[in-house]
Amino acid sequence: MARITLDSVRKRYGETMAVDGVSLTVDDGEIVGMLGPSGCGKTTTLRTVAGFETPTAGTVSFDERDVTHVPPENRNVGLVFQEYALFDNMTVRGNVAFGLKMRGVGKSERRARADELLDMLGIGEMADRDPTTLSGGQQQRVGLARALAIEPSVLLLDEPMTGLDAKLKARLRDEVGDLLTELDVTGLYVTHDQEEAMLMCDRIAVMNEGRIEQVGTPREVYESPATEFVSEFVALDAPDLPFVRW
Amino acid sequence: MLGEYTDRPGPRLRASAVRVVAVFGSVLNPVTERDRRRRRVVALCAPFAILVAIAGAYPLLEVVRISVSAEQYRSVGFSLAAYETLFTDPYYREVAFNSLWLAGGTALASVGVAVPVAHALEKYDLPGEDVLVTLVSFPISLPGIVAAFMILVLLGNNGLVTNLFAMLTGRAATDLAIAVSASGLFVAFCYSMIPRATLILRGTYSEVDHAAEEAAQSLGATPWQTFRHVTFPQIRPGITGALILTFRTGLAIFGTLIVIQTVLVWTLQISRELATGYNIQVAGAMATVYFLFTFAFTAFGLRYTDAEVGL
Repeated sequence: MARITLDSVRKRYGETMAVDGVSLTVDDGEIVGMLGPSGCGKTTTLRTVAGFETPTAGTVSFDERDVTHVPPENRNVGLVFQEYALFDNMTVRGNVAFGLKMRGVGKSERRARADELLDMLGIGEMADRDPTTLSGGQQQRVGLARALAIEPSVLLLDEPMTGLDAKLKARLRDEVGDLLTELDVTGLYVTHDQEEAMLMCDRIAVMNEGRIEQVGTPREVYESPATEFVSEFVALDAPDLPFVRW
Repeated sequence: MLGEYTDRPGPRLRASAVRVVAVFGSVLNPVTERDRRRRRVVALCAPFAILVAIAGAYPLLEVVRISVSAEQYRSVGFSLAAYETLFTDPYYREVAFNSLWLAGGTALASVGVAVPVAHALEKYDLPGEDVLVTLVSFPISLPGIVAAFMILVLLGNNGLVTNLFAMLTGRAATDLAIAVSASGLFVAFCYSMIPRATLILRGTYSEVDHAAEEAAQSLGATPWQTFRHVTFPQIRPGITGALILTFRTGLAIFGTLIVIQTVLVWTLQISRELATGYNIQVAGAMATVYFLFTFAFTAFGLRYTDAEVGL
């Protein structure tokens, strides 16, 4: 895993400044949540880290390597999407093994690796299924297994729990949280859900209008909001504090 | 006992007839919401059904009747002489072969060009995209005869492209002109077909899951690998649909052939049968074979696609 460093990243679309001077470091093995309302620039920031957007200004580095202009396929980034984005023309196993196939890993090895990950995520018996026949939670597990299969330098999760029902969300949150801790993954977790961010992340970067308002542990953000916006945004629907990861 | 009873064809037929009568009854006097919906569907489709019956089915049956008529100017008797001529005379086999290779080649080339065009138009934000879309789409509205004329203007003896190449190579323009040749005809066909293929493929591309493409890229797939493993399987139904449409339309082209009569194809030959000696039985047989072939081809092709080409 690698350390992610965003240095004064700006992204402008015409007259709109989507990301306005974001600087952030995600340490090796740390999960940082990007929390903010819709349209605050968190997904654009994540896409910039993934390589799908080139910043108008600023740099993105993995450890000491400047990856600002490195194409997505050469960044070794695992990406988990809100809408799953599974390959419908492949089986569940095919999805998970895809990244390994692109890396030239042999068939038996990638099959073994895919099965291992699917077992780890509790969906081993679904390896031969068509992903469209799975439930939302199961599809998201496949998406996570697929992203982890390539042993990514960094894992990017874009609102992965949005769209799941509350019960499933709570269960998946616990399971995925434990798994990410166990694998010691460096991750950037984009969400607009305060509770999710507090439960899943080591630190939280609260964003508003393209800027980071505050970076801190969930406790710091919750107990000592740096701005009025953070105070208002984080105070809403505050989670059951004893379960927060701090 | 009931199984034994319903397995017999007589009662089954009666039961089906009763069901059909019941459906008609429900359309005339709807009681449930399902009946009313059925009635609305019948009302919506009625004009087209009448059109199919009057302008489609009747003329087709008449053409079939003419093709098997024993006399030239009256539909009387029964003779398969016209069909025998079609299937045994090498001349007609060559006409059929010409039609197939020209339409097939056009379909392949047009779809081959349309895939990257549709890809670029749908996947990227291009400057002046509206103008590009108009440029790509407008040949659809051009009659084939105009398309052929444009090919003459470009690739004829005095054509712009011909003279440009003549200037660059130092060769005579007349040696380089291809407008009035099989190649020129092929280009004219492609000119008409590329917009049609692009239209279908743009629709297909607009439904491509771009997140899946990005997922593939993030997993290490190059743009080509992403296209091959993720995009192509999603657009395959559209490609099949575009191939069916362009092949079928390629077989139907006539206007272009009036100007560039370098390859004798089925439609042109039907015209000649009627114009020369009024050989209406053979013309009718050719039209019947044409209809059956395109119908069967489309029905077969649609088994492999859900693209909206229609029968």
